[in-house]
Amino acid sequence: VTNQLHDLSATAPPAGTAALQSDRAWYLPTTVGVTLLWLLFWSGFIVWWTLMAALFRQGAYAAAVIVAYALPTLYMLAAFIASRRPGRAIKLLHFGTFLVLSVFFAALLAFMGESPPLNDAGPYLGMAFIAAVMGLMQYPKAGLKHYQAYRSSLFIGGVIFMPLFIYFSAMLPNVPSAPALDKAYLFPLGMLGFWLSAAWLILRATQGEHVPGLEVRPLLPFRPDFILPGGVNYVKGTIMMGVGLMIAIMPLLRMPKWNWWGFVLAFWGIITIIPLRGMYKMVRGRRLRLLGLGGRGFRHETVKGLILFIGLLIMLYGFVNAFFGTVPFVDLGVRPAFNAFATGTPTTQAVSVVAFVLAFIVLVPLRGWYKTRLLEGIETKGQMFTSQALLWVGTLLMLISFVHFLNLPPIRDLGYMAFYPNSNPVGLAVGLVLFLAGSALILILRPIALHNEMEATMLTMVGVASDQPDALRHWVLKRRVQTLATMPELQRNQHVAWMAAGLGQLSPEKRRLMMGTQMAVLAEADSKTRRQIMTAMDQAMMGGV
Amino acid sequence: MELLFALLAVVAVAIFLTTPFWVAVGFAVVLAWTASLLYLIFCHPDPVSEAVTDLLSDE
Repeated sequence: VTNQLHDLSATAPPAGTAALQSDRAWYLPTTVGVTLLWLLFWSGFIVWWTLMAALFRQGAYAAAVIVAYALPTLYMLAAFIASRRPGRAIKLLHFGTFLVLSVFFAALLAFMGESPPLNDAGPYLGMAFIAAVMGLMQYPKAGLKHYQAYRSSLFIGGVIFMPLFIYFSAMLPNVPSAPALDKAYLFPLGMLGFWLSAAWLILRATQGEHVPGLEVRPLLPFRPDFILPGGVNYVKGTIMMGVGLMIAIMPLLRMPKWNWWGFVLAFWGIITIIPLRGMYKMVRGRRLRLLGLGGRGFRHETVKGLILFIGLLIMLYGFVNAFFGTVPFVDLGVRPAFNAFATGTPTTQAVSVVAFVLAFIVLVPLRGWYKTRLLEGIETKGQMFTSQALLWVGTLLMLISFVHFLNLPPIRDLGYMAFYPNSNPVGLAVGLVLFLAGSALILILRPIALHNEMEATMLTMVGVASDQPDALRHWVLKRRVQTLATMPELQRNQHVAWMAAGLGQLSPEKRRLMMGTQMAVLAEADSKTRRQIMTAMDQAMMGGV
Repeated sequence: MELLFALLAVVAVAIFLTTPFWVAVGFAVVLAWTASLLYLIFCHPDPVSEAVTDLLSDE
């Protein structure tokens, strides 16, 4: 792939120039392409959901689970096979597989005499949102030839397993609550794929290489693979912690229900936390920091923390509704029975307020302050863990606050959250496993994902700079050298090592171009800066940091 | 960007047409939050884009 990329980057026009000269030239084909993919995914998800629901209703649990996993597994397999073969058309194999499976599922539905229910718009809106995300993230904006260089099989797999929400929506309302044990194993069975598809995103191969033609703004390529792994690990970790806690605190075994409108709301919380906060971090943070134009400090971290906090509020309220089987803004928090400040005990009220205030303090000012103390790119394992531990504690406090504020049934007797190992051993076990699995995503796997995202961004930045016209490339490298000169030596060495690795991924022509610009910039720099950079480059060439 | 804002408006209308009033109001607040974040990220002046535009217009 790297060799093929060399061919491409040698012949491609400077993407920056093209992007700026015809700023909107890519709008129309991208809009048409994404819309077609959206239609493919939307119709496919509706068929998939209807089939799973029908099978669960008929008690064919094994068949329903096979259908649930067949779609994302075969899709990912098709993407993997395509990544091993040359040619453009083969890169469409996963989309083709999705189409074939959807038609097959539709035929099965027709054979069973089932059709999608039309009594509620919620599922169609929810699945339309999921399909839109699928289409946007997998659209081959930079063409098919090098598709898997910028959309790896692991990334595609991580994306296509996200709609396992649809499995829960098909299973939870259609499997009878008695015997409760049915749901007690069918629910974690869906969570298994949910968890694994977040876990494998921490692998370095999730992030692709630089490919020209992905720029959506100057010096900003559209790279969801640089945002998704950390975001997905946090969001899925939080969902698993939350739903695990809700199952574990029940006095008797009770499994979640489902309401699509709850998901429709939660979706916007996910959108806030993953793509919007991710893009804020890229556009207003990392891109500015790497060029020494700001994007750092307590104010920046506070805004990031606030976006996270508000996104979390939306997502949690949405998912509590989704898994409680209620429509948002109607029951939970609104009806007196579900509002601690209307019918709860003073203890319930106090726990909800104290936990909420503590969650805010931990997630916004405390974590924000802590992150200003870290040196980007050379954080120690302990520092990265501490940052995630603060995130985990803040999230757990928020969950505790929600459970008490909404005065959920298990809270009402005692006035506070408790566990019932004697009367609900299965619920406690299932809940605890889900809670711990979710915690592992946040505490252990997310730091690795974030480190890989950072490294991939740094490597790709060299390629993005190499695509720019002369003046812009010179400006970027000049800013970069000035910024590197202000860094502590260890951090500078790490950043230069990543840049050297990024240089190694370019075609010989592009590499020569970048080296020439680099030499010109260094020649203009003062002697101290030049010495600093040359020393770091020596270190990088020696293979050390 | 205009396309994204238009899509948000379509979503808001779809929710207003299919849900009770207070549910729609709740969703409207959330969608307004999303739109304001999109504005903050992409429409608010961005030092890199401004510098790049200045640089290329000087050429």
